[in-house]
Amino acid sequence: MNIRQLSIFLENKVGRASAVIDALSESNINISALSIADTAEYGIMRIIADNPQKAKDVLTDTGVMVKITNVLAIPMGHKPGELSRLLKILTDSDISIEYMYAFVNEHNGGAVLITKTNNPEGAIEALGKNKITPLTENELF
Amino acid sequence: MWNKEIETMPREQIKALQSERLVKQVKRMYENVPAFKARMDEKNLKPSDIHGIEDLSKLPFSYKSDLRDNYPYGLFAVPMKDIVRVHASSGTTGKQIVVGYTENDLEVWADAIARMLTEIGVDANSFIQVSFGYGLFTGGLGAHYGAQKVGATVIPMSTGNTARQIQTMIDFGTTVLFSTPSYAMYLAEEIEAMGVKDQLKLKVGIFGAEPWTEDMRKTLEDKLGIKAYDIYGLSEIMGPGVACECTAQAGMHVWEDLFIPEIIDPETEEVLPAGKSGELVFTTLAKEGFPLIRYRTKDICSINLEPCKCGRTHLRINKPSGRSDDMLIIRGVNVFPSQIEEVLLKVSNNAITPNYQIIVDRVNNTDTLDVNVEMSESMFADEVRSIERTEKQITEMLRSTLGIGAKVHLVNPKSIERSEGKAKRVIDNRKL
Repeated sequence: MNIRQLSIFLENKVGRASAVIDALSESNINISALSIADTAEYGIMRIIADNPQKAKDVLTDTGVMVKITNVLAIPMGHKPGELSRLLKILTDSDISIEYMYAFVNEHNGGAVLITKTNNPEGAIEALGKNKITPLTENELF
Repeated sequence: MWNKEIETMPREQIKALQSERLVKQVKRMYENVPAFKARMDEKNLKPSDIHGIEDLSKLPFSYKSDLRDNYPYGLFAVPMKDIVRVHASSGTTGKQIVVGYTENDLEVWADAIARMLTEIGVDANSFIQVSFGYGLFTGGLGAHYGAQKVGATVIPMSTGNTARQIQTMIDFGTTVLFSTPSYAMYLAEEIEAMGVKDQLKLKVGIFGAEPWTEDMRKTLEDKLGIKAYDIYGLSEIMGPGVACECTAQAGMHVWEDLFIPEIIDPETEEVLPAGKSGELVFTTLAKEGFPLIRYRTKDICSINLEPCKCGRTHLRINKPSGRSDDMLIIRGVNVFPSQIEEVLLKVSNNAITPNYQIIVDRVNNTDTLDVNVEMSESMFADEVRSIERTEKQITEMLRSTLGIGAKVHLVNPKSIERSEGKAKRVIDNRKL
């Protein structure tokens, strides 16, 4: 029930992010969500896109360091209190979040939380008890 | 002069003295240093084949790698009970190289520096601030004992803490400064900024352990109100004082009663005549603890046989103009790219060494060292803290291996410029 995310190493130089996005655009890859973790020296760009394997190959060919990482895509309503409820479920099960970002998903009129936790199986189990099932890649796109 | 008889000895007599000492030393090394005997045996040479300096070119060369292969004490020619001091410097790999001195070696070393000091007007009335690093590096203690030998008041400052260095100069009445030229430049600028030049009693600066230019000399002399002199040395041969400038400031005298310099073509290994530029090779003549025959310094310079105005008969070498290997001198510390490579190999768990590039520059008169490392599959992770851990690990290992700090930058794979498939390893932007 994991989905694949692209984790991309970005040097802290003008034009690096743009080069990555251009390469994906030229290969007709559609991006659903994106976030950047940055430090003074470099960044990690995280992307949810259709066809992650093709995206990885395209980026590797252009000399970008990229890895595919498994993350959870958790559906939620697009209204106040929803994210708070999800986080409480995870916290109550003692699950730590490494990172997260969210986006509104027109597809089902709701929103999606992308997260990597220290315990994906535990997270799925805890969410299941609350009748929440993480999305598959097919459901997402 | 400190030792007029030696320093003005007619050249014929110097050569006779060299021949006598060389013959004795070859015999002693053959008997006491197995690695030297093996080299001689390879060439089918016996000590009895060496009759004087005319036979010098028959003798085998020695290299920095010999020090590594015989680490730590394998090349010493006396029992360890007679070694009273060791010093160390960078090797081409993570392992440092070790040199040893007998009590007499330390005397000779101090004497070599005393000859220079006397010539440039330093004596028992001087206050000498030694701002070379003290410790395994030969600079601090080498200068210290030379300064003590002439009876000067020695101020053993070592490096760092610039404000305190300057305050000490003012309060203690420092007249002579020993340091690296880049540190002296830094001090000069601070002194200017503090507006305390008038309170200084500095007359003489002795600078060495890294390359510097005539322009730097002029700037230092103007800003500090001193005469600035160049001193040359390397741990393997002795330390600072192997060659030093006189008041003529036109090349450094090599004390030929202690050392024989030769200039060779580093490719053909042929000995070159005076005036021709090539690799400097040294044979020690008075060292007991750790003598060396025809040691390849990798420094590129030339020999000047013309008589010097100062009256000394010992030949001069010109300021080294470069290296025949890839060694860098950064903030006075010898750095080999191979040391950096070794660290990266360890970080990547001995898989493939990531491509890297070393960028050396001089900013505000201080050398900077940046190391760009291409990101590899094994180094990259999805989490910032994991990459930061890798970066920190490289930075710390570089500091402990090189002895100086380097700024590490992780860069994209294949982003380091390659020429003919080979990455250009070193970019030195310093104008030296």
